[in-house]
Amino acid sequence: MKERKEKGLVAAARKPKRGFIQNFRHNGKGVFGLIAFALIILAVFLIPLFVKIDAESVYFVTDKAPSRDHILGLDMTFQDCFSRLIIGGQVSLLIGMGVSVVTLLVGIPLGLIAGFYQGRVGGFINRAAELFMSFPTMVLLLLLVGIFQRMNAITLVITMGILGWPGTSKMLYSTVISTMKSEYIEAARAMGKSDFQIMFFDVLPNSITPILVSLPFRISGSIMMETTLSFLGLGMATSWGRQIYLATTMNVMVNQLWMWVPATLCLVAIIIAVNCLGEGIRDSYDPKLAKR
Amino acid sequence: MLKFISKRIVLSVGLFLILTFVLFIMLSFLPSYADNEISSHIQEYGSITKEQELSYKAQYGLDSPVVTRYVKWVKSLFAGTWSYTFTNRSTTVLSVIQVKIGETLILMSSALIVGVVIAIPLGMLAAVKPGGIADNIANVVTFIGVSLPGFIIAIFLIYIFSARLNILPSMVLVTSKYPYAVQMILPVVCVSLHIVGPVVKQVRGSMLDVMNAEYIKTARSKGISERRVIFKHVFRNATIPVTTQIGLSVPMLVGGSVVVEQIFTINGIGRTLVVAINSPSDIPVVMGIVTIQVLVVLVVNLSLDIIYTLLDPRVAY
Repeated sequence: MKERKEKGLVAAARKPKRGFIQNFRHNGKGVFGLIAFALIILAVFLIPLFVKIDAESVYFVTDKAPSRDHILGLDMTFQDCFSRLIIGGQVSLLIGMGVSVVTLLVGIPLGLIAGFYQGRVGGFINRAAELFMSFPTMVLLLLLVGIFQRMNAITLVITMGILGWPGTSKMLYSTVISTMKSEYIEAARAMGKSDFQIMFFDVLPNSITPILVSLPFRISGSIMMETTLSFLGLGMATSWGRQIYLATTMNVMVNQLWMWVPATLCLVAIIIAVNCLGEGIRDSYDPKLAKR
Repeated sequence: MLKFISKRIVLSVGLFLILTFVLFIMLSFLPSYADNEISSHIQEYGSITKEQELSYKAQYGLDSPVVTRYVKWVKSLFAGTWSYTFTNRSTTVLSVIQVKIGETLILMSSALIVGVVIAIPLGMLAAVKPGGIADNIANVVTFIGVSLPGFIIAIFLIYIFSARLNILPSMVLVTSKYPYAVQMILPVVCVSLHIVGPVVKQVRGSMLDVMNAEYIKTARSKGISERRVIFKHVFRNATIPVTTQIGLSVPMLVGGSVVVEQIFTINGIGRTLVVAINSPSDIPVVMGIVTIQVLVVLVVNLSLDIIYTLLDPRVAY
C-alpha cells in the first residue's frame, strides 16, 4: 500500500509539466527546428539507399565542375563532392549525437553523486569540474588527439564526450540539491531504500529535465567541435569540416564554389535547425523563459 | 581586502601547479622524438637493448621518472629557460614563446576589448527596448557568436571582404601591401565574436532581471531621468554577472584564437602549438605554450575576482 502510494507520487513528479506537447506544437521555432532536423537526418541516411554513394573513388576527368555524373562536381583530389557531403553528414551527425550520449553517461553519475552526498565528495567533484572548465577545451582536444595519434570515430566520440562532462555534472548538481530537499526523498529514506536506489529511481527522474532540455544545444556544440577538429585536419577525413577547409585556398574559394559551399550551407542549416529545436523545447517546457 | 587578494593569489598558484602537473603527465604520453628514434633503431637492427633505449631518451631528458622531470621543469620556469626544445637542444622554450606570443597577445587583447566594447552597449540597448531593432540585432549576433563554429565565421568573412569586395586581406603577412592594423581586422572580429555572443546575452538577461525590481520603480518615481536609471541603477546591478561571463569566455577566446591563427596564418603561439603537437611532438614547446594559455586564463580570472570587490561592495573578503 505504502509502496504504491510512494510510486504514485514519484510518477506524478516524473510526468512532464502539463501541456508540454501543446506548448511545443504552438511554438513555431521549435516545430520548424524539428522538421528541418528530421529532414536533414532522413536525407543523409536515406539518400544512400537510392543513389550510388562512393566517397572514396577517384575519377579521372579534366573538368571538376558539376556535371550530370557528379552533380556537385569533384574536389581537389577528384573525389565526388556529393558523396562526400552525404557521408560527411552521417559522420557529423553520428559523432555529434554519440558525443552527447557519452557526455551524459559520464556527467550524470558524477553530478548525481556530487548533489547526493554534497559535503566533501560533492565539493571535490565540483572543484574538478571548475578546473576542467577553466581550461580551453579546444586546446585539450588538440593534445588528446596528439596523444592518441590517429583517432577513429569511436575514440573521437569518447574523448570529446568525456571533455563535456563538467557542464552536465554542474547543471545536474544544482537541480539535485533542490530535489534532495523534497519530502519524497525523506520518505524513500524512511522506507529503507539504499542510496543507490534513491539516487537513480527517486532523485534522477526528478532532476533530469533541465539536462534533457539542453540536449539539442549539446548536440549542436558537439557537431561544432567535430567539424572544427576536422577543419584543422585532426579529425575524421570525410567530414564537412574537411570540405569547408578547401575554401582556405583562394582559388577554390572564388572559382570552385561547388567544393565548399554545399558543406558550409549544410553545416549552418543543421546548426540552425538544432538550435531552433532546442529553443522550442526549452520555451515550451518553461514558458517563463521565452520572455527572456 | 589585501588578505582576500593574497588568499586568491595563493589559491591560483596552487591551481596552476595542479593543472601543469596533470598536463605534464598527459604530455609524457605524446609520441616524442625519442620514441621516433627508438622505433627507427628497432627497424634497422631488429631489436634494442635497455641501455640503448635509455640513451636515446637521455638525449631529450626523458630518462628519469615523470615526477622528477616535473620538478626539473618547475625549476626551469624560475631559471627563465622553460626547458629546451626538442628540435634544437640549445634553444630555450621561453625564447620560442617570446618570438611568437606578441601576435597572439595583440589578437586576443584587441578581440577582448572590441568584444566588450561592442557587447555591453548592444546588450543594454536590447534590454531597454525588448523586441526593438537593437534586440533583433543582438539576437542575430548572439546566435552567430554562440552557435556557429569560429571557422565558418572566418570563411564567410573572408569570402565577403577578401574574395568578393577585395578590401581586406585574408592572410596576415609581413610582405602584405596592407598595414598591419588592417590585416588584423578580420581575425580580431572572428575571435571577438566568441566574447560578443555570450556577453550580449548576459547583459541583456541580467538587466531585464532587475528592470522591474522595486528599487528601480522607486528610482523612477523619484523623477530621476531614464538615462540615469539605466546607467546608475540597472546597469550597475548587471555588472557582476557580466564580469563572470567575460571570465568564462576567456578559455573560448584562447581556443578560438588557435583556430583563427591557423586560418589567417598568424604567426602566434596557437599555430606553433598545432605544429609542435604533430608527431613527433616537441613536448617542451607544447608544455610551454599550454602553460602560457593556462596562465592567461588564471590571470584574467584572478583580476576579475579583484575587480568584483571593487564593483560590488557586498562581496565579502
